[in-house]
Order: sequence, then structure tokens, then C-alpha cells
Amino acid sequence: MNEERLRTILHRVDNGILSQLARSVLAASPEIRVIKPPQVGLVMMQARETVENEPFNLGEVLVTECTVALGEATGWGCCLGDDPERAYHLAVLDLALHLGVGPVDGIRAALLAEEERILREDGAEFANIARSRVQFEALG
Amino acid sequence: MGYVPIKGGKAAIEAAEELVRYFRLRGGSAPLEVKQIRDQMRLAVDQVMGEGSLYAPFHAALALKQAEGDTIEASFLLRAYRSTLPRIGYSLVADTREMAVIRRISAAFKDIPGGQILGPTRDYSLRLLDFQLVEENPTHIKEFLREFASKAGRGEDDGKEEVLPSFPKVVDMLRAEGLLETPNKTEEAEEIIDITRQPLTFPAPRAARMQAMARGETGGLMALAYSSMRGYGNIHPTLGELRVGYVPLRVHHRTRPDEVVTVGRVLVTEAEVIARMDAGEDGIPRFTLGYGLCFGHNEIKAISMAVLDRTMRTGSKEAPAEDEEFVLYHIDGIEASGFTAHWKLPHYVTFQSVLDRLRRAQQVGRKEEGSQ
Repeated sequence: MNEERLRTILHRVDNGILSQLARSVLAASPEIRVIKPPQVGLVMMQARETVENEPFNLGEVLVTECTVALGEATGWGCCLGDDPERAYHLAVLDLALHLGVGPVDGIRAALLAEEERILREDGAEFANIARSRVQFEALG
Repeated sequence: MGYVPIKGGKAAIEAAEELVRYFRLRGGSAPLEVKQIRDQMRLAVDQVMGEGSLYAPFHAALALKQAEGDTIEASFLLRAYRSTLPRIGYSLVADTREMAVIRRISAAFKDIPGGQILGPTRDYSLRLLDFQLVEENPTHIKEFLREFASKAGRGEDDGKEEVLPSFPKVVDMLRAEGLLETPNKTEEAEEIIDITRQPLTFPAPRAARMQAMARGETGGLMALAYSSMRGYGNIHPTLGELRVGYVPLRVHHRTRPDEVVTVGRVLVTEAEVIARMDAGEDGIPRFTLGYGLCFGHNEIKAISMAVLDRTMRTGSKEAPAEDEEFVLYHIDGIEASGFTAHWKLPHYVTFQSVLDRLRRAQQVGRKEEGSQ
């Protein structure tokens, strides 16, 4: 499981599990400190239109970000909406995965399980949506 | 004559503000939870996010509660809130080909790869008031959700959708066949214009047009697009594809910029209209295209945007929808409502001046009439 895949899962990880994982990291590395407390801010979302294939600013998205550090290394968390706790926990996890501190194997296993859950739920959701797929029949 | 400062009205204003709260609450009904508005008034929430130019479903729902359902007022509140926050950066450019689709249709082709998926739509429903909703209670909701979940596994597609499909674009297929205009620009602009920080100038860069329309007011966009559909600069549009779904919001890591972080998923609506043929530089006729994309589920807005995108590229200004200055200056709901509302402010001095002029003109008129 590579780093990029882990990172892609993080934004969908359930709040309770994320909180558990972050607490396990903080228990193993209590010297992790907050260097930028959770703060609400904006990310300007850019998209590409298809007439000229030009990028443009679609609008801003409300996010919460947080930065933590261990020694010289930093971890950064950013999530949608006003959710300081989640941003903090994401920052802790980001740092743990970057430095390999804390119960890394347990974190990887938990994230893998979360990935399976997300895929299962997305699949089930899409199966519901796909029931509205049109089955055209030619008449005559 | 300059402005004349006046005093007074403080107590009346305070009482008026209290009355706003009183009129919202005097019915004695249970207070609306913001979460209820977010979940059950989702299309109003999406409209407010689009026009407020801020993707924040909870905050948009709160704004709707505060504004008693007035979407323009709620959008204003959201835009004002946005102006208090720091911008921490820009996303990577999202590609809607990656969209996790909840709805996807084409009016141009019956058979499109991946099929037509109606998703949550009222397009085929009779517009009859549903009086059963009057009695809707938590038990009904639970029953419905249980029944809905039990239907999974019964459909023809069930069991085949383990991996979320990504759908090829209809316009890509047309382009591959050489039937659709191709992008003219080869180089990408170094900086994407941002109309929240730079004023609109004309001719407006394409990115500015797109951004202005993406935060435009749904009704305003629709009225101008409708004027084109009725013949004032008609482009003969066909809806090539309409998509609603989630696209990932990705940013560069704050402290390790070479890494990309997915922050979350943003619901958007995208419309591509195939419009009348045009001969390109090589003299070969091809279909032309108009593009619309906005926050949330808002199909009327995305389609109107795509139509106006194409009308503004017609090259003439014979109809209002073809004139980009006319379109872009009149679609912003916050600006338009602000100017409209300003007429409620005291204009005592200016009106007095007009009144003086009228009285003088009447005196002159009467004298001239008497001397004849």
C-alpha cells in the first residue's frame, strides 16, 4: 500500500476511527506539538472547461487546516467544512505516516479496512443510483 | 450638493430587527435544525453555495435559516462570511471526467457509453402537491429507508458495480470523430484570473466569464439564456451531456508541496451544450460547444451557463445574450439585489431637488400658458 493511496483514503476515514488512530499516535509520541492550531480557511477550487480546455476558478471551498510537528518534521491536516478536531487528527496521522512514528502497521491495517468499507459503501450507493439507468427498447 | 448626514431611527431599526426574529418564530412551530435544512432543502442549499461562491453545505443551510428561505439573502450572508476568511491556497485543476456520478444524461444520443442514468430527478414526475408529506414522520422515513435498502440486489445492474465507473464524455467522442470544434489555445495562461480579486474588464478572459457565471444567480442566468432560446441570439443548443456528481478537491501539501492531498469531495453540476455548426479556420464545418459548471446540484444553472457561454462567443452583440458585458454585469445576484434594494434607502435630498425642478418647470409652463 503506497503513500499516495493511504493519503487518498484519509479524507474519507470515519471520524471515530480517525480519532482512535490519532490518539494512538499521540500516546506513542506525546512530544508531537501543534504549531498551527486548527483554523478555518478557503481553498479556491479550480476546474477545466471543455470548450478551450482552459482552467478557471469555480469558487471557494470552506476547509479547516492544522499543522503539527515532531522535531523538525511537520504534519498537515486539511478537511472540508469547519471541523477543527478532524483537521488536527488528520495532521497527526499525516505526520505519523510521513515519519513512520506510532503504530504504523496498525494504522495501515485500519486504513486498509476503511478503504474496503468506503469501496463497499460507494459500490452499494452506486448500485442504488444505477437502478435509474435507462434501458431503451426499440419499438416496432 | 453633497450628502446631508441625519440622525434618528436607531430605536426603530432595533425594533425592526427584533420583529424579523418575531415574525420567524411567532407561529410557535419547532425550531428548524440546520441539519434538517442541509439534508431536506438540499437544492436550496446547493443554490446558495453556488451563488454565494462558497462550498460549505452546513453554513449555506444556516444562512437559509437566518434568511427565512430567501436564497439571495442567504447567498449574500455566505459571501460576506467568506470575505472574513483567509484563503489558504488553490486546488489542483479538477477534472470532471473523474466525477463519481449520481446523474448523467444526454439529449443528443440515446446510447452513450455507460448509459443514461437518471439519478435523483423530478423530470418525469407530475407536478402535483403531495399531501402525504404533511403527515410525514420519523417512522415513515425509517420505513422508506429500510424498503429502499432492501431493493438493492434486485436490479439488473446490481452486483456489477463493485468499482465505481468513470464515464467517457460525449464531447470527447464527438471530438474524436472530428465533429466538434477543437480548442484553439495551445498555451496555458500563467495566471488564472480571479474576479474576487481583479475587476471584470472587457473583453473578459474566458476564465473570468466562467467564474462570473459559476457564481451567477440562477434566475438571472436562466432569464438571459431563455431569451436566447426564444430567438434573441439563438444558438440552437442540444444538451450533449449533463452530469451531477462528486469531484475530488486536491491541494498541494502545505509543508511538502510536492505531495498532493485529497481534502474531500465536492458536488457539482456540469452541462455541455452542442450548438450550431461553424466553419473553423480550415473551412470545415463542425459543431460548436458551450460549457457550464457550478457547485451543487443545480441543472437549470449549469445548462443556462452553457448556453450563455456559447451565445457570448457568437461574435456579434445583436442580442443581449450575445453581449458579454450585458450578461456578465447583470447575472450576479448579490450585486443586482444590492442595487435594487438600495432604492429603499432615503433619497430625500435628490428627490427634493427633482421636486424643486418639477415645480419650477410647472410654474414656467403655467406662465407660458397664461401669456398665450
